[in-house]
Amino acid sequence: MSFETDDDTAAVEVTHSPARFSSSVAVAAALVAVVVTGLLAPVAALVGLFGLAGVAGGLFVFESERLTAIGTGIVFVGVIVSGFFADVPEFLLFASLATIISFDLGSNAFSVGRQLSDQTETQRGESVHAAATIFVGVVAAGLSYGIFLVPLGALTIPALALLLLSALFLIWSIRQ
Amino acid sequence: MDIETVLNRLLIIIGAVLFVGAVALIAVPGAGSGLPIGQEAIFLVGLLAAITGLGVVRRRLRGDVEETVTPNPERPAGNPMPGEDVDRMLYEMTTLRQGVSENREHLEERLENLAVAVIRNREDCSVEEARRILESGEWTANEQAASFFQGERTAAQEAGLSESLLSGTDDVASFENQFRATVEELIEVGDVDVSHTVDTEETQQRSLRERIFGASGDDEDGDDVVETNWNETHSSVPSFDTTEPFEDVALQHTNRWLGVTAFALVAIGLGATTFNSGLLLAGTVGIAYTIYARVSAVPRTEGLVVEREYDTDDPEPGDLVDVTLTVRNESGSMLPDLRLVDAVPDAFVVTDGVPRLHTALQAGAQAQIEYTVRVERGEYEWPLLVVARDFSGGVERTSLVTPEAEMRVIPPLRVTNDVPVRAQTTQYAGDVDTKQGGSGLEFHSVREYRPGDPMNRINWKQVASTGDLATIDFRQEKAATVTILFDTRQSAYISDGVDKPHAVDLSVHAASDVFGALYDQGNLVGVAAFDTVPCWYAPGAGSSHLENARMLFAQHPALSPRPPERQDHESQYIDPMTHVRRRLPSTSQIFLFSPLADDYAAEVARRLDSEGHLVTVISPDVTVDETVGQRLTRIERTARVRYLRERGIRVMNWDPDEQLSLEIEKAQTRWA
Repeated sequence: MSFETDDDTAAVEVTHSPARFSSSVAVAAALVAVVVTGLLAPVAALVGLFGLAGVAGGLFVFESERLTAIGTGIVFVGVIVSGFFADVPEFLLFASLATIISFDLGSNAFSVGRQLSDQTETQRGESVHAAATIFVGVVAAGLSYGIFLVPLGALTIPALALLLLSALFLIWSIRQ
Repeated sequence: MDIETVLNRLLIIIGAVLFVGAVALIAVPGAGSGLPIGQEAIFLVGLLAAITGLGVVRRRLRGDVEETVTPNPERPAGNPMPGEDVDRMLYEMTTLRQGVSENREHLEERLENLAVAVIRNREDCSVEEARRILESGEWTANEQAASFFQGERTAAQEAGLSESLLSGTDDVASFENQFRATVEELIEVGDVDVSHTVDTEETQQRSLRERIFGASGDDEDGDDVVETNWNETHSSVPSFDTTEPFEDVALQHTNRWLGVTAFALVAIGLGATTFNSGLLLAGTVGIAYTIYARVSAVPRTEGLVVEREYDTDDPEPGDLVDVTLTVRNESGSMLPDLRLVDAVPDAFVVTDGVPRLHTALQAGAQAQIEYTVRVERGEYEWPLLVVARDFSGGVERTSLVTPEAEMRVIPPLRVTNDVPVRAQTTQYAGDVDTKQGGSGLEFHSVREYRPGDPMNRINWKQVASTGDLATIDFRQEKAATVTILFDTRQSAYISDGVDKPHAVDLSVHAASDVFGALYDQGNLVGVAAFDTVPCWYAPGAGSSHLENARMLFAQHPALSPRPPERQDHESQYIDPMTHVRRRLPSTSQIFLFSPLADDYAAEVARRLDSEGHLVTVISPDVTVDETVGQRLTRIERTARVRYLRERGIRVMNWDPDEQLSLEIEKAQTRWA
């Protein structure tokens, strides 16, 4: 008995690139964030473009999760810089939301790629994850914008300081 | 309660108190006017927040996401190629500088034994004489190779440990060059078949991969190295052997949201220091995601119902089987993130489709996975690896769900062609020509008539001419007792390519044909293997014997396609031949299937032969000739084959790319 390993009986290919769908949404979200910062301050958009290149390059070219994360970070630096130039709360809220969505989907793309493979049917799982992330972000952004709009005349400087400090302590407590 | 928890609680309490204070200040206007908190305080707190945020960024960039590593069950199992140990030793010595003196000693000894065997075979002389020729350097014109065996050992022994400590780069490199030159010279002297010659002058650095798979001359083949997989080694799941229908492997926080807090802290911190309301607002999204990541629910994967179906009931080794896997969510709640990998057994190879799926299943919903596998002998029941996450992906639960779907792959024991059994004398009627006269077909001799001889065997011609009665004897045909003996030790699990079947698989496939043929010729056939797991099936006949043998080929752990080191049974060192030798009938012929990868296998054949068994060795040649280690093992194997043939043991040197039946026919004409 002889064993021929021709195409029919050879093992299928297995590759572990970042998942396509999540990658595309991540790049799109980063692009949205950069465009919005560009509307506020063109200088910030320049910074953001570097970040966008990092995100896209990390996901599609170099397949490096680190590069993607750093890219998202630079996009966010662009958002903050644009905030210094123009204090438009709606735009900044939207840009930061888009950045975090890009951050989450970018990391999910790598995780799906590693645990499954490029050849795997991943559309449904990826979309549900993306939908959940976007939904949570939109609801949260809507809520904070709602609170922002309600005139809270009493938010004095001491109150703000205490609020920030309490948030810091709570964040420290859950650092694990 | 450890200090960490106490600290955490303290932080939470302080945070809560501060929060209540803030709410009180907002609710009661003017309450905070007396507090000594000015804009400086805001600035400070903001700065603190931003710095904490940068700290989080640093943690994210340093820390890794923790997630289950899944295997690649599609890929073939990686069995070592012959000679890998030698290449690894050279690599350790020259590149890693580890165990220089031990490896060197081992390689020197191995090469010396080989050289003695080669010279002895060529010069047809005694071992002492061969050793003398070796030490005098007369065996070769190559000075480098000749000097390898001259005085090397004593110098090394005298210098002892200090030499190995002091030995510099040049020393090890020159040893490697000398070693290579000697191997090439032995190929020349021993007249060993190799496909190409190697230039021993080259002294480039080689990576481990190059060393073990051979330096690929043309670059386009560089990516072509087939990647392999062992489910358990290449994943974070400790074992896929499970008897439970559902088994939890791990439940962990993935840390994948680590870093999202930084978006909040940096934006809010900088927003506060610059009194920028937009950045403060932008930061709130980050806080929302931080909370989202913490709110987690363990996915209820125990409610998954998995069914697996095969398109055929009784596949044979090498068949392609379509597998359909259905996963239904009967947990009553949604499973938002399911990553499914069917843990196809190591011996199988997926040839079409993907045994994986990423999906979300609502309560009551179901999904299907379809793929095709090339199966190998054995009984299998394998789990589906389920990696389930909650919506945010913050929690990951890994479990193994094993459907009740056993697959039994049993070799058919087909009769392909005759197998030459050696002439011998036994009591059973059968196919083997004997030297005894009696009833049969082929003329044997004429002898004096004895009362009671059958009338049809009386030589009437002689009666007519001389008047004396005489009887014709024909060559008696008798059945032989044959034991098929497998070499299934760890060392036999080698293959001549990563995606090629290993020598044990080749042996068992070939043997299932040989078994059928021998049985069909009316012989009593038994099966045995020398391994740490005793395998013995006494020679016998009858249809139930044949059926039992089929099951044995399929199920016995000693004949498993998985190497012993990857099996669960405990192994302790006993001479693997002990149990076989104790049970072997003294008249039994032996068909030994072995790749002859070490001296032990050849020694077994020789000892069985000297105990009076007629031994035929069928040896799949899985050696290759790319790296120096592979070339060395090829010479060693060739030397073993010659050693056995010298002693009159039949050796069928079988190239696995050729059909064994053709090889048998060729051998038959040679032995006739």
